[in-house]
Amino acid sequence: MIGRRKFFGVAAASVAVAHTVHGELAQAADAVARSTSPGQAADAMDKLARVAPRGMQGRHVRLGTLDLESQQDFTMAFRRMQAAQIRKASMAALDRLLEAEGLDPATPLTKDQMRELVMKDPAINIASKTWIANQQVTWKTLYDHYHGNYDRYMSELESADKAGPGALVLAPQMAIPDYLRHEIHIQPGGYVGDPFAGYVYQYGTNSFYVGNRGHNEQDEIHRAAAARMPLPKDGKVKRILDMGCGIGQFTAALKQRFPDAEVWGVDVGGPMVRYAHMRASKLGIGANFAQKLAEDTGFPDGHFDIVTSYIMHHEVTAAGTLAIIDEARRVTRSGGVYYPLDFNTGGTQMPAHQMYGRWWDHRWNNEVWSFEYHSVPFNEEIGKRGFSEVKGAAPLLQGFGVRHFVRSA
Amino acid sequence: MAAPDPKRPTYTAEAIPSDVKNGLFLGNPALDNLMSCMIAMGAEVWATKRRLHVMEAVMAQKGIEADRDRFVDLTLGPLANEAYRPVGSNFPKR
Repeated sequence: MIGRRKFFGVAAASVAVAHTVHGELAQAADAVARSTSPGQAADAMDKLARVAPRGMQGRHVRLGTLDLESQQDFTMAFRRMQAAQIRKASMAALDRLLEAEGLDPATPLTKDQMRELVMKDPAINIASKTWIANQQVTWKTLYDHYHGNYDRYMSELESADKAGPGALVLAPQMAIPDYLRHEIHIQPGGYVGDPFAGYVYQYGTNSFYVGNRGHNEQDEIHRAAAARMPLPKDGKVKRILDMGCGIGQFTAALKQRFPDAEVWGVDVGGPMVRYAHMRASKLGIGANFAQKLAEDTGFPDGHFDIVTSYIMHHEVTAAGTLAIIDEARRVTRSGGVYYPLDFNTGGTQMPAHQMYGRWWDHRWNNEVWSFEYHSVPFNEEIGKRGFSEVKGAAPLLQGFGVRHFVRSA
Repeated sequence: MAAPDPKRPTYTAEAIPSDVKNGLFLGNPALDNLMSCMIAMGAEVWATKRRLHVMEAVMAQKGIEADRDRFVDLTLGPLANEAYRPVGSNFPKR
């Protein structure tokens, strides 16, 4: 008989022992090492095979079951096909609608005009429905797996809470503003409502990256952005702050680039920073994480040499964005760098193809505040708040806005 | 699915649910549901197919001749037994 455990269990166990040192898994691995008879060893191996992850590929922890990995593999492939074919068909439908209405595609439209134009078109609705259904399968399969193995994953988080090399600060009594409690990307529970939000986000966004910017299982995209982070003129980088850090991929990448610096990632989502800390700890990266609001970090004035954020601002209100820029000014030292990485802002009216994508993302991907973000003349507002813009700077990532600012004296 | 243990802190807060799940796109709730079913079914079919691919790869790597021979010996090996004697006549009486 060919048993799955026979082929995968032993290999997974050896990888797990090498990479993971926490809780239930460590106990199971220890029991294997201490076994003194074949019977004991068999029992211990059986227990280890039940709790061990399925190994790692670089820093990518393989999903807990082959079925779940395959479901994610399917939804990733569907996402790519949807973008290349179904979405393309919906764009052709949009062109037909524009022609029927006698509208020049270059004419700027508002999101309300776009909604009225496209809401009843069958090809556009098929594109919307298929994308949403696929996104729901992505989230639901992940959500069900983590909640179906509640004790295993909660134990993993708990056993890592006090692990080093970095610190974790959680704030269970924190009042979370309503505007930050939405289910962004229709992820169940969003970033604040699901104890396993970090796990679910990590694997759900892996397929987003493959479909949009390339593989990121090894944090390739975050590390590429961190590698381009400009330094203050004096070259001194002792402390770095990553605002709205999510699961800490950018924070960890910054710590790896600046190993001697004290690096902090802050995020409103307790489950997100908890997972960020666990992941960084397991990778041996000494970044620190705290559950805090980006607009109220509590750090001393002028504390940081570099203040940054990775695609956070389009998830907050216009007022939130301005308050966050004010906080960045407060905590950035004179001559320090402020680089909030996010999409180019384009206002609230734009040509039809662009507006279709933006409205669609706002409405069906539940990017609740994206139009508020686009309503803010971002660089101009930063320039009004104690920063001077470095002209001719390169983007940290192609296709994103250039936001290289220096804190004025 | 096990119920969460209220004694274990989760550091969560109540989320505001998205209304996207209530959108009707195809003119009939049955059609919308069927489309959702089709995509979910696609994920399940692919999971099964991928499992078969893994098994095929493992079999190609490990070979199954030994297991096949064990299987044939266990199930059809008894056909070679020629030592039978009728139990009602000259079979040893004990």
